Amino acid sequence: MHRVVSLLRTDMAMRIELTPQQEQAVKQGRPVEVVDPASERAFVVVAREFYERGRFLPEGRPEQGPSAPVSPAVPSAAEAEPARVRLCDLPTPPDVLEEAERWCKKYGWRGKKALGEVEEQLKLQYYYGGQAVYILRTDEGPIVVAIGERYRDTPDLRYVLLKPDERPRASLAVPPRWRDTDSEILT
Amino acid sequence: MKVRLPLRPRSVEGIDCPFPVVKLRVRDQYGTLAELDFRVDTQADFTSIPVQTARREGIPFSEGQERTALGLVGETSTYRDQVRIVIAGREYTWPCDFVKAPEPRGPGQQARELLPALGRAGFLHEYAITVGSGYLVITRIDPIRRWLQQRLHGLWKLFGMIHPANRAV
Repeated sequence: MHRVVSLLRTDMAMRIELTPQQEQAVKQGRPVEVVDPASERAFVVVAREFYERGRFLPEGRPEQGPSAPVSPAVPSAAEAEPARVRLCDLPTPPDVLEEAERWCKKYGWRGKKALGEVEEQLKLQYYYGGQAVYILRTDEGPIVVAIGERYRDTPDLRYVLLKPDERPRASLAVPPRWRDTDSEILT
Repeated sequence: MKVRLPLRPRSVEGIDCPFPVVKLRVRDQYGTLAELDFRVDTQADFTSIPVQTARREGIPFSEGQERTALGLVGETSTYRDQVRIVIAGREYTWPCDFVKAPEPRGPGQQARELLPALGRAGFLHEYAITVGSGYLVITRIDPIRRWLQQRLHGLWKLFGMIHPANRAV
């Protein structure tokens, strides 16, 4: 059964149906991209508490322009363009932190840098596991551009989604699913 | 050249299965480089890139040679062509299978996104890899290293230190 979410537009309410998986993701605080079929505009649905937390997380940061990375809770100013999400702005769930510490201990990956890198990998799995994403390298840490459903089969997507200055810093990745239940055989 | 990369953490039903991944740059149809994560798969004959990924990244390939790729869990169709990969400033042209994605499991489900895989052909001629203690180590086999390794292996064989391939380890 689908859960219906209403979004306000200037002239009328827009109804969007969430699949059980999307609803689950929203409940877990993960942003979900939905597309209004009438206008083909994309929106990001997040739980209220996550939105409120997300809004105040980047305290003291300058106002973000259309091309700047945005907090996961704030949809991109140019809605046609997928949001740039700073990975460090996404809350680190205690499970992720615990796992990161466990992996570092297991393999002797020492130091804050190593822990930070493992934490990033696990956060990617937690929030974007199983999805194709572009990861942009920046001095402030990775910025994630999720490749939504509507872009799955878009040719030359790198040239469509990313700005010229972003392309050399972008890497395509598919983080494994967080706590996957399916094993993989490549060969 | 030697690079050490930490394995990527992954767990399946609570069982740790870290895997080796390397970011490589691939020449696209416009001559620029697209950076992609590759899983390292020494049991794959060829490097493989999902067709969907290749199209999305503008990596050129011909659909002229359709082939079949076999695995433990089935077979799928591929287009056999070549890919140009840059590793540490050196550009290589290696055979590549552009793989059609497996069908989704059920109606209404999306096909799972898959990473490209770095296979043996070409790559293992130029590079040696080891996986252990939480790291993937990639070493370029330059002519001196190749010559030394051949001599060393000759010596080990002479002293019976090479395990016969037809006997269980």
